[in-house]
Amino acid sequence: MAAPTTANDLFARHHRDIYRYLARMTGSRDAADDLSQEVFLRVVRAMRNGGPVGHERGWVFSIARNLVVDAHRQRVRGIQVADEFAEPGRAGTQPLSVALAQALQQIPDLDREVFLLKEVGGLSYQEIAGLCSCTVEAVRGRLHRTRAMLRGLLSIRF
Amino acid sequence: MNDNLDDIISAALDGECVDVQALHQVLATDEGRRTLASFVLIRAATAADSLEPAGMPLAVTASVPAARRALPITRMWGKPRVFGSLAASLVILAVAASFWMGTRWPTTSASLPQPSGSSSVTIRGQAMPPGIPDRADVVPAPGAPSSEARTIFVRERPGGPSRERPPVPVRFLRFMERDKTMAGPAAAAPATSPPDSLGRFR
Repeated sequence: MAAPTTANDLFARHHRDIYRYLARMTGSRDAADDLSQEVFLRVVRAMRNGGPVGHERGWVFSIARNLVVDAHRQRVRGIQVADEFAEPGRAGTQPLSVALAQALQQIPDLDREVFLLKEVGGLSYQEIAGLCSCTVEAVRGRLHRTRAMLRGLLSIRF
Repeated sequence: MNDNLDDIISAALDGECVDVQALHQVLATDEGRRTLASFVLIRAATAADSLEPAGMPLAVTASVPAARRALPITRMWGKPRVFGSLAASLVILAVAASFWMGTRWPTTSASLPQPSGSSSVTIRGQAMPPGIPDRADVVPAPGAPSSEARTIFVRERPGGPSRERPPVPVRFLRFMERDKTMAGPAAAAPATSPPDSLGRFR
């Protein structure tokens, strides 16, 4: 019989991606730190009351997404991304990653949210549709639109 | 290339179910392959994101078992402060309970203090008129206690003692039976006559 999932297990599996999702959604590392901490505080509380509801990763990201929505309402966002994410990264991928981070800030919130839930969270179209209260077709359209916009913003041409 | 064909590439990249024939047609074109390549590159750039959390959130340090240990009262019994608080609470409860019981269970008349035997008192600090001793006997009232109307007089002498002129009471308190007071003006009439020249009431 498998050992029950603990909050530490969820943290080890999802913390980094949750942080990246929050950082890209809010455009602020400080906000991402605060919100990711709040996410796992809620996870700990929820674990006392029965644990994850549904798909584990989707559940954790739904908590993070709700916090982002709340933070957005409270106007937590506002730090410019240009200097915020200019940090050393992996050789070769850093320039494109920094440019991607900057380009993401120019994407509409809803489209960026769908894109990050897919690319960072790895959620399915169905899960994203459930989180964002929209249809699967809308998710598919937003993803395509976001990628096309990013392609244009990054001037990716082959 | 129209958006619908781009949409197919995007969905195929995400592993979603797409029309295979349509995808084949899109990838057969140069533009389709470029689009696919650019989408793959965007995905790679997203995955290569070097963002790392600054530190470990407090949530990890407060894991579920530790959080559960924080509140159980069973672990607090061994602490002296808990016993002190408990004892103080019990004392407060006992005081409150005794007060409540005392107000609910009044003492019987047998336990009330009874009048003592005869005694005498000396009236000090007040000059008595001629013929009235400054010493009086206090004796129990004859018969059983009743609620008959009684009048208690309080004499005041604003001008100080005077041997030649007896003091005249200027104020007195009169306690009367409630029934007579409430019966009407006639029943509420003074039970005593005005004081005489010596200030005595009859």
